[in-house]
Amino acid sequence: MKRRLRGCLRPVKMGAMGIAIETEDLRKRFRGVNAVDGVDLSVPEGAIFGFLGPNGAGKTTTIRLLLGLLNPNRGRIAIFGEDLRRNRLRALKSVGVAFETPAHYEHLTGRENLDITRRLLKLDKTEIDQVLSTVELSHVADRHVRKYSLGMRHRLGLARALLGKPKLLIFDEPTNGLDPVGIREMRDFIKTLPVRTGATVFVSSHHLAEIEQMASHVAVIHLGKIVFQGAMDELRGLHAPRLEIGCSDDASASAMLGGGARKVESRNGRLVIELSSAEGAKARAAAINRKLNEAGIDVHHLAIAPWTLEELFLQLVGAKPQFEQE
Amino acid sequence: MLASIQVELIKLKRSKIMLVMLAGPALVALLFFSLQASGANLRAWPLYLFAGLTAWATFMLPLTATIIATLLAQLEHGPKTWAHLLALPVPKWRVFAAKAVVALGLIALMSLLTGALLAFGGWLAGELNPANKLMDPAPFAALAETMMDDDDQMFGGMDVMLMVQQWRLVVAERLAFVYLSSFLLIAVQLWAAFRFRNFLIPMALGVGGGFFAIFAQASQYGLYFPWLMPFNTLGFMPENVEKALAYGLVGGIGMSLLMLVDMSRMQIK
Ligand SMILES: Nc1ncnc2c1ncn2[C@@H]1O[C@H](COP(=O)(O)OP(=O)(O)O)[C@@H](O)[C@H]1O
Ligand SMILES: [Mg+2]
Repeated sequence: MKRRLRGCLRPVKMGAMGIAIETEDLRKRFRGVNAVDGVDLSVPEGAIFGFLGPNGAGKTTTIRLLLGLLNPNRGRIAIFGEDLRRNRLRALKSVGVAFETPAHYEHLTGRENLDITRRLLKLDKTEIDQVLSTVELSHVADRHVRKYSLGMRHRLGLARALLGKPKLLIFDEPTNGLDPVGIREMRDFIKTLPVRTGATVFVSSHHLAEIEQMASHVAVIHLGKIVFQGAMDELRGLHAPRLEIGCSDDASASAMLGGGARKVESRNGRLVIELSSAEGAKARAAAINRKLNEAGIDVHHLAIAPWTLEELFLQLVGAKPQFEQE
Repeated sequence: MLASIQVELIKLKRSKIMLVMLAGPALVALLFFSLQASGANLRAWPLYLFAGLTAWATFMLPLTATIIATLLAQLEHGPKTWAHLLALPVPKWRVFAAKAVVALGLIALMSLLTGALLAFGGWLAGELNPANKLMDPAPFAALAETMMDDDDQMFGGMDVMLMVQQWRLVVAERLAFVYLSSFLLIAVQLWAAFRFRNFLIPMALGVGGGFFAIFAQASQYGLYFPWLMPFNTLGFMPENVEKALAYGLVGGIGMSLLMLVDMSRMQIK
């Protein structure tokens, strides 16, 4: 009663309709270091929201704060408008989560592992077979998790997150440790989730390309601070792609392509051209190729080069981040 | 809550806990069976059973409680499943309360098993060699009474006549006392096992507690030592029975509540 009254009196209620996650000045300090430092997130409902940052940026800490596993030193969290501190259980009812390292009971089968969560969520038994087939683990459901590959463990983690059809799915580095094929499968799978389940997906990663390929929205975190937040297209607009050219005559090519505002640099034995925008990059590349060929210059390498996370950070924070070795 | 408890039981499938549960009581029973069968004849059923109970209360119960609490916690520490469990829309305290209920349930079953296996061992020793048969002293109660002075009524703190006439009841009662007074040490062990990822910490606490209990018996503060409470309810010092029972049981419930509050607040990194 009291709670409801207070909610009514507040002029602007946090977590308006259509916002899956909203945080306000979220802070978490570990031994004097701010792992999460004033994070304001606003995750629109229905989005695949990429949470991008190098190792140690504060992604996992943020996610643990969102789930009430860690208590913030400051700030507020609302999930679909439910204040996490006041109403943790109601807020978490709409959340399914898969952690960075998939943790399961090794001595139990995949099915038994899911059954544990199913019982705690008081769901129907049929949900287990549904999520197992969604992640394509039905054929190994009755095998002990001890015998699962890392990819299978990740998928079992996803299946567990999907139990109860939560409106919000939170995945912390779901491709962690997977091989390239596994990474692609995981990415493609996550991309289908909003359509398939209607859920909002919040997914963290330290690979720019990965987020670029699956996310509709993105927040970039660096040293605990959000340095960019917005639609994926906005992020793309921040940096136009570059064209890398390897050819038989750098000097002539450079003279031919340069001029005007366009910058042509020579890097590692290749010419690098900054394109003005992402739109039409392919057509520009083809045109340049044709032009060089017509001038009698052989082109043996032509690539639209993606930006690396390093370069993006360089642009966003004006400093090179410390990247950990993978 | 029922679902939380069921879930804990599912996790025990194929785990070592069932082995510990059988091995503890079986070892106590085997020890006294061997003594009896090898001719170290304890003669009367109440003596035999009380000797077994003493071994259970001072040594095997605290040790197995330590192992069970540690294993229940390691089920989550090992694969790091606490985070998942505590991020579900279920009150956090329930996760820990369910484990405590399971621990108390398993130790209750072990207590019953200890009593049953002890009795079976005593009977078996007599079957193997009639010379080692344990006797039921109840029929001789009248005779015993006429032979005793008033001073003899209490022998080593025990009410001899009660032990002679109603030994089954007394043994059952003391088995229950031992169990109930162990709640405090079980709660302490669970807390330590939940709190520390390193299983050596709760194990060291349990082994250390059991070890110091030997010395605490001589101390005036021994009455407050959790690992000694089960032993104190056996009645070698009758004035301590009720105190040990109250401290162990009430203290155990209080400690469990503190543990639940603390664990619900714990941050999962
Ligand atoms: N339990 C902890 N104790 C102390 N420092 C921590 C702890 N967890 C994380 N940190 C620190 O907080 C920062 C953010 O870590 P984390 O959230 O794990 O980053 P990410 O998931 O982006 O790699 C790092 O500097 C890390 O060292
Ligand atoms: Mg992380």
